[in-house]
Amino acid sequence: MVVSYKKPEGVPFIETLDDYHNQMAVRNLTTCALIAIELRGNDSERVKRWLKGSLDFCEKSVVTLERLVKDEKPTVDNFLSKVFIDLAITDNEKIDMNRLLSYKENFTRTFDVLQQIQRKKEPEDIEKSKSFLKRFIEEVKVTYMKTETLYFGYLSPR
Amino acid sequence: MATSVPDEFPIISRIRSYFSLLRATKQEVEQTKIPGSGEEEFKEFVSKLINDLLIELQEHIVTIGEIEDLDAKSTFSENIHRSLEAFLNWVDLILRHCHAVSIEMHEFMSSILRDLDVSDMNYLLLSGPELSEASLSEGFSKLFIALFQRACDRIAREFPSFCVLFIPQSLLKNPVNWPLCSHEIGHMIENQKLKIIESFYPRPEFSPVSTRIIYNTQALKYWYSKEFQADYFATGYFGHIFPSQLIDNYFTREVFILPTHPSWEERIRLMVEELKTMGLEQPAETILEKSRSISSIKPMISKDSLEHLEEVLRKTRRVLEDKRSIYKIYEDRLENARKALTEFIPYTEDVKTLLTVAGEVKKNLLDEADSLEKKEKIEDDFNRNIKDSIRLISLKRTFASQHGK
Repeated sequence: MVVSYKKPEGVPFIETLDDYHNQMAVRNLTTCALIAIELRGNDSERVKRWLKGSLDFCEKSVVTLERLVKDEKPTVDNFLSKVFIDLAITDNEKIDMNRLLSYKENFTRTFDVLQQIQRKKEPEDIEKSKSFLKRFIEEVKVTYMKTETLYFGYLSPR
Repeated sequence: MATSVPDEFPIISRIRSYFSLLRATKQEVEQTKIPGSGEEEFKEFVSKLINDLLIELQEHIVTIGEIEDLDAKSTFSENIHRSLEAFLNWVDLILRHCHAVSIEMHEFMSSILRDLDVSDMNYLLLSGPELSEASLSEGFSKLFIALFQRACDRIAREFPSFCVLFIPQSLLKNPVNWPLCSHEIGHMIENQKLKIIESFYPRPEFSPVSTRIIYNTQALKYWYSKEFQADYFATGYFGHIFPSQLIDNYFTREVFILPTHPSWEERIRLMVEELKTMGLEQPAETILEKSRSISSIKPMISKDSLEHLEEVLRKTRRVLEDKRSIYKIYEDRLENARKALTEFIPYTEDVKTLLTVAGEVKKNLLDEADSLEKKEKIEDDFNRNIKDSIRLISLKRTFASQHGK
């Protein structure tokens, strides 16, 4: 019997764990970028750390998204690209390239905003970046809602 | 009249509730007996992580007070909540599921790791839905990244490869099939000690299981090499009994084999070749014969595209050879083991010989029984005898090492 695995209804147990962890990592990193923007001007070591981490995250996201949109058939090479592709995959198993492009533009803008904050300048486009980051976090949440149910279903006490 | 300052938002009081939750969890872990050699390390792991989390939570409360945007505040709170909830549920899962694993299974695992001189591995055995190995360190790192960076850094620094091995209940109850676990042990040893494959292909940051996603070739090469290596390791250690049980599993479907694994055909061919190299011509032919009715799905990449596989296997073989752990047939030993097990007497010489003959002896005994009740009784008694044997072998070995024998 040959079964097409192209569009399975669910994913194996280990992948559920991994998917949940991947999307949590992306949500955490995005949230910290949001907080770093929100707390701009705060000179505490804690906020500086977040700013540095957020710059790194946005840069990696831009590089990853650049590669994904360049490839004719984008492939997964790290946990960021795994989440981006999960977000951009459509019901008919195609990858929505416009969505990836929009992420790339927005992460580039956010990176610029964070850089200006680091240089102690009052950045432009703050509201656009904040609103993108909030929307992006919600998109990740919605995409992995089923995963979350399965994950906590397995972990919760019986 | 002095008034206490009320919580600025319910958010802060919710986050505060984690202080007592985390402390209670730390205490519970300290007080719980966790079977297996990973107990001490796991307790230290959890204790240090919770100390870090408590410090960072305190900082987060300050941060929440500084954020003006209510949406951002809520998002921050939500992530803290989800990360900690997942962590606490994991600890709870471990505390509950570690007790379903028998002492004999622990002895079985320890005996293999001792043979290979890697008894210092950080792992826990848990009952779980699928036979699989998962990195607790990687999972926790992703849960904590950025938000609890102190804890995340601690994992990278002190506990980079703590793993859990999930074993299904049916396998736990059936010691005859425990050689199947040696494939997962191969993964564990590669991840924590050998790191042969990552010297050729970068280690991907996600698990190799999605059937929905198109992976890049480098990631596939890493995972496929790992699967071939684990098969090679298990066959090198347990001989023909491993591929034989793996093929049985194709038919029982007890252990889920992910479709992103290499094809059955290529896996079996590799193990058969290995058996022949080990001088096990006859068992190799039997395995080949047994595998004829297996239908194979085309792999995502072929074995031939793994340009470093030969070297990976050569290095893996050298590890087994260096530790004198390559399987060899000793006919007299096998015969002694058959005789003992047929008479329901523990066989206490070595685990490999015991499990090599256990399957065939059990089958013969079951064939002779004429009713379902008798078969069930034989099965129970037989499994108990195998477990007793494993425990006794371990005891003998400990006694011998303590007395310099």
